[in-house]
Amino acid sequence: MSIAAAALVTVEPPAGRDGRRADPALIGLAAVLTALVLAAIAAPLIATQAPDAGNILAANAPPSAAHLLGTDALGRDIFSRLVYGARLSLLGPTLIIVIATTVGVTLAISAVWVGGWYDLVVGRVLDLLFAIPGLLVAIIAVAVLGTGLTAPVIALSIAYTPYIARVLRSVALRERHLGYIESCQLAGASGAAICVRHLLPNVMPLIRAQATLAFGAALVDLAAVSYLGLGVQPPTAEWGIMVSDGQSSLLNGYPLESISAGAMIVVVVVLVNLAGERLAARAEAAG
Amino acid sequence: MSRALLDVDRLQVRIPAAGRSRTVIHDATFSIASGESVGLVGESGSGKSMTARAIMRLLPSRAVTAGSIAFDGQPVLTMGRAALRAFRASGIGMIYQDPRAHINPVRTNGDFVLEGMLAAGLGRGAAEERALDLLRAVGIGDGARRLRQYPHQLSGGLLQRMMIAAALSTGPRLLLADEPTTALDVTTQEEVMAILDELRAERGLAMLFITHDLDLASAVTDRMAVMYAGMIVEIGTSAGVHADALHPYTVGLLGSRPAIGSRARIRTIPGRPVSAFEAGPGCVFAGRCPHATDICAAQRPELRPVGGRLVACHFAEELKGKVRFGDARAGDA
Repeated sequence: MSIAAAALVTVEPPAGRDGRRADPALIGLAAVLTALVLAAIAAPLIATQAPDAGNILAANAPPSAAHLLGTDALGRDIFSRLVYGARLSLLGPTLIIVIATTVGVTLAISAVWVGGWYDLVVGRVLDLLFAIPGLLVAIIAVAVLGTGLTAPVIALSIAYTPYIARVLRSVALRERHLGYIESCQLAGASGAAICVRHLLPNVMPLIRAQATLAFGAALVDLAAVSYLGLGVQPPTAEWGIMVSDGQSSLLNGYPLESISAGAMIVVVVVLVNLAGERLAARAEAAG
Repeated sequence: MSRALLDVDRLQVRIPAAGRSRTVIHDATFSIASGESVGLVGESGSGKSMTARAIMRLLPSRAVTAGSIAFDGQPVLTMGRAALRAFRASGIGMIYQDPRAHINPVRTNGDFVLEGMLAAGLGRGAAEERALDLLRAVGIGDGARRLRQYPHQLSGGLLQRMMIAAALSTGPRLLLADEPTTALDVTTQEEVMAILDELRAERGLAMLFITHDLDLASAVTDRMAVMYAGMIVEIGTSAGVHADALHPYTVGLLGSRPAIGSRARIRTIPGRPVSAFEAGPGCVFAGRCPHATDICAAQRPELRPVGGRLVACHFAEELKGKVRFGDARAGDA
């Protein structure tokens, strides 16, 4: 999937205020994703069983009224584990994107504003980070900090920073030289105030689009880390772990655990990417 | 003459491009007294806007400047960060050609107009009150509503008045107006100019009025400087320059205006306008001047007093009233 949306952002009248209609597809996508998040938060209400309560006598049971998606090799309810698993599987990428966006936006806008050698150094560091695969950084971080959620989240936050910052830098650079920024300078506003109050709102559509697209990629990466056994550890419910846990059952003819967890990953990533592409198109149209 | 509010002395601006440094302003020397209105006239690319940007210190970061600019006795080109901010905020007010490009589109007009006053430490309530007064002064009656609206909800003329109000909000002593009416339609132009002129006179503000419109400049300014290829070629009282130009370029420029009611082909100055960096060692206008001689191509004339005016031409006295442009087309004029 392409993260680098070549979106251009300029003068965008405030969305939804007048003139610009809301995008019904975007609203639909946002609604489905919000429902997923709510389901994850309200997991105890939705799940039919505790996620790690196993009944070894009912292992690999087919779907039934009691077990909507059957049970896994340890007799745990797959549906309940999926619902509970959504918590970590969605929380991880959310943390990554929040950190990467905050750091990326700060770096890109300060680089554009300050310019000179600072801009040069930031640019080179981002290029360097961009060249290193996120998964590799995550594996190194796990080797140093140990398994769990913290190490991969930190590593992937660093790895995703350039996705946000590089695209933003070029757009912010153009924006910085537009007239309205100059009139703020002449009004005597401080650099920080101009960046936060004037520059940032004008590049916001692009930031939204980039962050959304990066979310999908981060979710896949984090699931891969878990799948490799480097992230959160079993018996915690998490989609990446479920895919790997279900592998032996898959070979034994009980594919539901791996497939349902894999399907959840695919569905969320596709929904997020569709939303991201639409946001990018809107950001571009506004330019 | 009283001490000048703004004194630009032998200003030179070079911008390095592709390894070579290109001169965009050769030599600009002029001054503006308190309350005086000075026009800076020239065609596109002659360095008018660049001069204004140099005064505000908004040149590209690579630009190299020489000469000096003094505002109220303080050197602008060497000001520290804090002094520069104070100078920009409360010393000068800037009115741009295209208000739509110079007002943040995603914030309200109020945010734009109040920005300078809030940055100057005025409280929000007081700033809003002052903004409403200013808006009334520029002819916007329903100011409170307009301040809550966004720039795209206002017409060009209204937005330009917003910009004038914002420029005046911090009580500057000098207005820089860079073609303030070029982006507006003719009737709005007249209104905006009238408002600008009235407010300026009322507050005793000095103004540098940049335009390519000689007639407009002579109507609203006390003195006028004509710029060509990064060089000021003639400065004098606006009425004087307009009625009786001395520099061949000014003569040519005045001759190139369309006349209402005449169906004759508009006259032009032969040749194409040169950029400042293309000018040779001699007079910047030598290549297009019908009276150019060897000395014009070899030696650059300095601004010197001729008939109560400053003119940069070797032959200003000899050519007085005799400049004629040969017409390229037969039957023309």
